[in-house]
Amino acid sequence: MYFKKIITGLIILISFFTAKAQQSDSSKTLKEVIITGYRTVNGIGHLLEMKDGIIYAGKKTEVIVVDSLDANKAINNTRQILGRIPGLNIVETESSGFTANGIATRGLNPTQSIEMNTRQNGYNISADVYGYNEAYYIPPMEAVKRIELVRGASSLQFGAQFGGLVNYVTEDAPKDKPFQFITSQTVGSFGMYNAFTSVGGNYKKLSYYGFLQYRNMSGYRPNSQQSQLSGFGKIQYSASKKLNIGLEYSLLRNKIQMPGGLSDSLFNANPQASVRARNWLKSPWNIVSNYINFNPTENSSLSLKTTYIFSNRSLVWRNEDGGAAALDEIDPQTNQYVPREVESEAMHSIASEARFSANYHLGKSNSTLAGGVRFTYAWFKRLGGGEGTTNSDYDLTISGDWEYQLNFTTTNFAPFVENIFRIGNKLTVTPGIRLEYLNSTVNGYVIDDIFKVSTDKNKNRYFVLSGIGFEYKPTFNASFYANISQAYRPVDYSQQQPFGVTSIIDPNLKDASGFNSDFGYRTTIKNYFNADLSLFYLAYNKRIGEIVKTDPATGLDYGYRTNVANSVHKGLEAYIEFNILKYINQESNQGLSIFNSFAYIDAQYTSGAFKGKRVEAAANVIERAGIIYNNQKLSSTFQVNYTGDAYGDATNIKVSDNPIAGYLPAYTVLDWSATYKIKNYAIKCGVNNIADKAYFTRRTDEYPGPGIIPAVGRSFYVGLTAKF
Amino acid sequence: MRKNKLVITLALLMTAVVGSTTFLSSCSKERDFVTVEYIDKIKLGKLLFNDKNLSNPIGQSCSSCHSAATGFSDLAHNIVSEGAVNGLFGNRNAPNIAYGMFAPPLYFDNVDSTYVGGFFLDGRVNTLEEQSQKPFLNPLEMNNSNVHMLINKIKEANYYSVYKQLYGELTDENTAFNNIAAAIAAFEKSPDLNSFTSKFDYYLKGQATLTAQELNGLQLFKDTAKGKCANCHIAEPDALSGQVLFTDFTYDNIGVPKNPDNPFYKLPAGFNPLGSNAIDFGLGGFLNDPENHGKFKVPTLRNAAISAPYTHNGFFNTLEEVVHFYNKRDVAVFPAAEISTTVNHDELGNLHLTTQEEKDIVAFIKTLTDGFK
Repeated sequence: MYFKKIITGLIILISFFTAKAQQSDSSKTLKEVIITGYRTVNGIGHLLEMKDGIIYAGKKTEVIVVDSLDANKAINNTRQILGRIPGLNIVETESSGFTANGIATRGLNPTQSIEMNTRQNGYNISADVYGYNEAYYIPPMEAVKRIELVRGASSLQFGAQFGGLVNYVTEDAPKDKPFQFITSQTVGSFGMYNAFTSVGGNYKKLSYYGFLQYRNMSGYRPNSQQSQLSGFGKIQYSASKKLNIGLEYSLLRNKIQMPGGLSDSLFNANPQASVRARNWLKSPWNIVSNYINFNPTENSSLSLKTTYIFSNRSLVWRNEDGGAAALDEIDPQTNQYVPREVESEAMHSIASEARFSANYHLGKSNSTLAGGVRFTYAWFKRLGGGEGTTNSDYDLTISGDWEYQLNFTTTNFAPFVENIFRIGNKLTVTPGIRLEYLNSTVNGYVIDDIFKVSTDKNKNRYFVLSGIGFEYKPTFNASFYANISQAYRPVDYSQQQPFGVTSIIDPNLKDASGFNSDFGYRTTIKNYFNADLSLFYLAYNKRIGEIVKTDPATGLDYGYRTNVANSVHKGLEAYIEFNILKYINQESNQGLSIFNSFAYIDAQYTSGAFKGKRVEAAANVIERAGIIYNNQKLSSTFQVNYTGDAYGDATNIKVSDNPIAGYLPAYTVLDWSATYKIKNYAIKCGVNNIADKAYFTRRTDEYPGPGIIPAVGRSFYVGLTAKF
Repeated sequence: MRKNKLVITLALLMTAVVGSTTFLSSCSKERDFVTVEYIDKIKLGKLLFNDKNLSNPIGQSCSSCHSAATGFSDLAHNIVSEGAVNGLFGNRNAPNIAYGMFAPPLYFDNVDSTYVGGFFLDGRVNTLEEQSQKPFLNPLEMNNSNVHMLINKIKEANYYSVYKQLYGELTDENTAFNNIAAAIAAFEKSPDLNSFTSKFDYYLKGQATLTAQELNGLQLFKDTAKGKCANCHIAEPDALSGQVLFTDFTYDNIGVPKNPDNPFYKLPAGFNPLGSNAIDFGLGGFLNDPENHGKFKVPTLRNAAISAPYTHNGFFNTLEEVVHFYNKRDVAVFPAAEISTTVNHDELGNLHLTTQEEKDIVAFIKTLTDGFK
């Protein structure tokens, strides 16, 4: 309840200062905005026009205050934590080999959040934003203070991704307390045990915060085991009110036994089935980041963040030979299993991002300039196709040589700038531009049967991304916003990889490019009403795919990887929340909220062989509605989640032998969670997938499948948190 | 003054941005190379196959008697090929070894009452690997005294690094000999020897047209009442490989006479104690079975047009001669068969083909030469 008071206080503070902003003392107003940064009701809201030197004016943004959510944070239940983001599509694979569930919006591919710009505390945490943009590490939700999302218009400030930004902001050292200790122990279905412990404090000019999380579970399906250790440490030195420097380190250690994928018939017979008992993965992740923030004046800021990621992903598994239904059995002739396949990827990335912002007068109006420059160098080694052992344990030993060995690098240099032009008190116009220089190299070989295809490529590209946002505030607590921003998705490492002896990668292969646009209205009325309704239009051009061509000289067919199609994604995203009890009495100690998060998404190919077909994995309708009750001690949330149907691939075929192709049926899942707080203690409990719905969110032709990756059935959890 | 500062600042920033980008891109010159080559094992096999240093004395490689230019038969079209030692010859014509990989290990087919498979013309080994080892130690071929002698040459070879990369440091010589055999066999299984690029292959894919004569030849070739060629030189896709192999890997005595020009007859007694009285019993000799005396493995007809001379002792110099022999053996005058007791009179000897039909069959066989496109 203490936190609720803070929220309420913040809302009042924001309302006050925002109202003041319509008067004359704008510099003071801006400072307060920087401190608060977001406006929420019941844990979800939106970012204000400026925060930490970054412009959000005119963009579609969301912020989720994690501590105010009732959710199964012990297993990072994405549905409950991020589910109220309209149109958020979640691929639930965490129990089957991935270390984090992937997310996407607007019909983009949610696998490992590859269309998102995924950050923690403002720095990227995926392996390589451009070449291998997969997020294996995200912080445990018990350590996350808030999650910030910016839709596609974030491309100017953060990076070129179509999906926009998701930034997990971790908890921080408690103010005015030299030491704070929080521990949380949670147990749940399928052998889940989660222990989370954090310490933090402030001492003179130093502050520190760190956590350790250990999670172990046997999993929903047989042949599943998961043990994971996450850690984080941060130390900050505040030399003055104007200057602070800090260092952060995040780590992930894990070991996952992957139960494999299922064919349709296997899934229909028993969604908990598993026919793979020898598939294992480890993905140790390390992120070191240091930062310096300097505010030379009240109206200006400078910051520099440098991050080094060094990570690995290694797996040994019975590969897709024979498909999902192929049993992995001992060969009676050899009395052994078949050898497994081994893959190992080593990822390194150094990124530096310098930002500045300044308020200045342009005529009679205040303007804000914010920009920066980002430099990234990433290098990545991929080894795969190694013939592993016939054993069943985690063992990366191979006999013979790797079937492929490839070294990739990406160099990115990206200066960017945006400016808020304020026209009167109600209208802001925010144009921006981002220049991207991108260099990609690939060197190595791929063995295809008896051939060794060697490649050595180096490619430079330049992009100019531009965009503009408008925000009109008819009242202090409401705004209309509209924006359009260009985005692109570079040819990633897998797409640069040779894929066959006779196959050819188009020498003029272009990076996919397009734009995102929004038009919407949002309002927050006191502490009882929050709404954000918008229309979006996303153009995703020059998508990369493979087609079959015929050599006119020999008459032979060959694969050709090229830009095959454009797609258009358009629709509606709406979030409405109404707190009945707060509406009746704003001072009430109790709240009863109903919320509805709804998205209609029409994502279709508009050219190429699949013109008119729906984009793979794009659900037409995603709706999550719920009811939240809270008082000073108890908080409880019940949520209904509906995700419409989709297809596994662009052919939109419903039944196929191809493990990635096929129908993804619609599903409805119910979740309930509650928190009861007594002084320094809190009891948390809940049920996920109450109706024990058998469903799945992903088909794959690769790891951790192949085939259908079932989502988890009904599960219970209960936990105790203590804070000292 | 302020405006000037702003302009200067912006100009500096622009310069920095453009300069940095130009610098970065100039550091990194574009390139786009893709090369396709055989995997190391095949590369090693090919190097071994063509290495003339592996004989004793040096000068003869596998390819000396099995050249790619002649469908992997003797480049010089000798009746029998001369070995590493001058004046020594093997006793059989060096066969076209292309497409040999499809032969199964030797077995007896109870349905057809015939032996099938195996390697060499008499089926005396069961795998390509075993086959590839034999010539290294055969005194009439590459003449290494023993494995040790051969392995020492491998260690001296400039491709020894490729060997080491594949198999590690060479320690055990017998293991190394097996590795070498495996590499050569891998090469013999590669598209170099199994390209399926003849005119007939393209015809099957609808990408080439046979002439009227070639088509007539094909018809006669398949005709079970007349040409009967396809009875043994199967012209339909093989069940296992899906390819048309033009052999069923069986054994037959087609009644080939002795070849008096065979230099083997003149070898010293140490190599040929019977001199010109020597008889090649073929499969029957290996099996020590009189019922199979004089039988030799049915060869593929792929690349037959470029791999003369023909039959196990190189008795025939042209395809025309062979086809005419098949057609008229029993009704015209030919020298007596080397072994007459097991000659096949059911499928050849009197085929009633006209001269034109013989020519048509030859025209068709000439469509089986690789490298059409």
